[in-house]
Amino acid sequence: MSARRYRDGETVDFAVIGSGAAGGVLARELSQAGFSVVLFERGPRFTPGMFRHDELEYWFNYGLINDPKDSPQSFRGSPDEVARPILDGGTPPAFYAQMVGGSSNHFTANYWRFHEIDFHERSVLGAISGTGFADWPISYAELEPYYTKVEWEVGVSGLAGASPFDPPRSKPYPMPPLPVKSSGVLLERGARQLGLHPFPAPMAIASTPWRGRPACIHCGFCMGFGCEAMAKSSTLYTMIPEAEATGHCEVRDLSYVFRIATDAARRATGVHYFDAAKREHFQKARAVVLSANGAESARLLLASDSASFPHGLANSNGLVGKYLMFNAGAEVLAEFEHELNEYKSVQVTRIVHDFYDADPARGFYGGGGIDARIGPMPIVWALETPPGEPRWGAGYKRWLRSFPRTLKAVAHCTSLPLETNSVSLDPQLKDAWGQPCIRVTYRDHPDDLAFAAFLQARAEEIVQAAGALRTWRYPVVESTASPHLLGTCRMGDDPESSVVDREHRSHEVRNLFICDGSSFVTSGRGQPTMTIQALAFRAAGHIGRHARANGI
Amino acid sequence: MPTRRGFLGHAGAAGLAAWLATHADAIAAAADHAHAQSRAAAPRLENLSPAQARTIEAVAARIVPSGDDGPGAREAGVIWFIDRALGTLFAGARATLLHDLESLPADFADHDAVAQDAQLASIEAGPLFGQLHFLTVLGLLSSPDYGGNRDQLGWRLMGFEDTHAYEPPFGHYDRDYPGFAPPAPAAGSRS
Repeated sequence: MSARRYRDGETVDFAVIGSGAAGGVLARELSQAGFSVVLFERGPRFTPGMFRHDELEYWFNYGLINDPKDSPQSFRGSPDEVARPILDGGTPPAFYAQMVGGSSNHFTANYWRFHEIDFHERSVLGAISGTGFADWPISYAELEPYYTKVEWEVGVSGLAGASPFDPPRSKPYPMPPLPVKSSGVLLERGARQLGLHPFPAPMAIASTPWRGRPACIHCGFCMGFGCEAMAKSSTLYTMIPEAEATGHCEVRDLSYVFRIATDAARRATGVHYFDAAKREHFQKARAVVLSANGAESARLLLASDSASFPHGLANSNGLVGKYLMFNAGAEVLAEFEHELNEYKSVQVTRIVHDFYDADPARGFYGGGGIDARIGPMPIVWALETPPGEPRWGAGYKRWLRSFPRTLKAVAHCTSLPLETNSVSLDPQLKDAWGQPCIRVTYRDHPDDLAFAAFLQARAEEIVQAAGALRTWRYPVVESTASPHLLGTCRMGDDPESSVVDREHRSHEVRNLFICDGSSFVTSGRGQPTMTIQALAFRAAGHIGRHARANGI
Repeated sequence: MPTRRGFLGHAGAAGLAAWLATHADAIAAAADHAHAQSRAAAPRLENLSPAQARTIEAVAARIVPSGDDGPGAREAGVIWFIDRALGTLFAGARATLLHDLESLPADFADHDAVAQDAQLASIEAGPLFGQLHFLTVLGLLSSPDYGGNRDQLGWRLMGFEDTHAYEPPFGHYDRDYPGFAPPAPAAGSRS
């Protein structure tokens, strides 16, 4: 690897903050265009052999995700409550894999394109009172070439034309779908029985050797784990090595950016960061690209306040951090007669999009998709006793034994953008570096919960039609934590009602670009990463164009 | 955890030569390390008194009992996981747990199963039971490297195995799958 090293005093073209799904794409695109890039990552860099099949470490000891022991967060349901700190032992309300490649390491890799309706749903359905429901400033057609780029350059397996609901596409998938699992066969069987249209799930996992990476070995440790086979198309294995191969990109891991610096002319001048030994540094840059995820990007802007930006950077209208969306959801557990062995291979092989569009006749807003999977591995499965099942004794043991004969049908749903749902700075909590911590304020809109319950009922009908012996609905409850961190620096043409413009440039700072889940205007149907990466490819083109034209 | 040889044998059989060429050493080293840890000398209690351990093990044995349907939490060595975890991962929970444990009779372990079950039923909604249930499940189903799940007994009880690589068919229902046939277009399908 001919990775370039830059000195702090050297002015690079771009400081990219965050090496996840978006930052990895942006660093690769900008460095391939010939720009000098330092890609900042707070967490460590893993080699494939460092990923372990260790559910205790990854699901209960923050093995990959942000750790409250050094970076606590706080949570409250509404702005009139005092947030309670979420400390060691709790699930951080906004959680993400803190490492090179970010959450593209531990995600499930469902790669649904948004549909055309996602971008102009407000115009079709009208306003929803009390919400910030709005159209995107861009259309599906504008993003389509970049969805295709994600599929071919990041690597997505799937089957074009398999879903009658799919939006238009310019090219088929580069790899065929992954081998179907028993959950996929049953979902397909049940859904067809009901006249629905199941189809092979598009997944960012290699089903065949692809661009120097091997095909999936079906180990099963996928959701919440990193891929030791390099088959999961994380930016760690795809975009980032390609960025380094240009000779223009340095990945600076274990480097925690805590402040974006600006000058009197209201331009970004670089980033202040801590190295692994907590020593402060300053990296000069012609422009800053912020891709730290929908929670951390908002936090960094709010923490980068100054005389020129007293309410935080790019936040004169007070919208940074607002309109946080988690994606609502619900689950059904189903037991079948024979073994499914869902703990093997990838999580999802078939999905149902018949309920993707909202239907005003239901009386509430919402849309989504259904898949079938094992969900978490043995420990979490055993702890999530469904309603009515014993938690101990011979009955509990019998239930444990049903593990290989079960699947979870999962409903992935919309979340409405609410101004009161937000990422802000906790007034008291400080992290181990003395920096202000994230305070999450979140309460699902009643329509989000109503639709989740509606789609859960459809999911249950499907598994019953597939011949389930028994089914259980897990209670639909208000969200208190999520890895889907969307909407906090929303995109729009109007500087009064958005944080970035349609090219991801902040309305207030000419050479500050923000691109990640924070850019979302609406939530989509529960699988955001594909769209985050399509936005990143598109943004990189605009940013590079401005840079070449002396426009940054 | 598979042995180094077992893993290489399985992966080879799965036809993963290209992948192995780049990663076999790293994976095998990790597997060997984990294996060496779980082969460590006979454990001794580090964070629990023998009496405390006896009570906790008795509770764990009612949460996942041994019986005609096979061994349970006791045989899986759950208590060794709990003892170690209370000095490491869950050290912060140790003091409260041991304090709450005193609400159970000192001779809980000597009661018969019916009496034990009646006592557990009376505390099922409380924090002590929740904590012991949590630790029992973790001791049963976390990697044997952590001291419990002996001989992968917890995993075997559940019908789970971790062999690093699988090939289809994975289960009963995908065995004779004929392949995906695209459906007729949906009536009124949009976008």
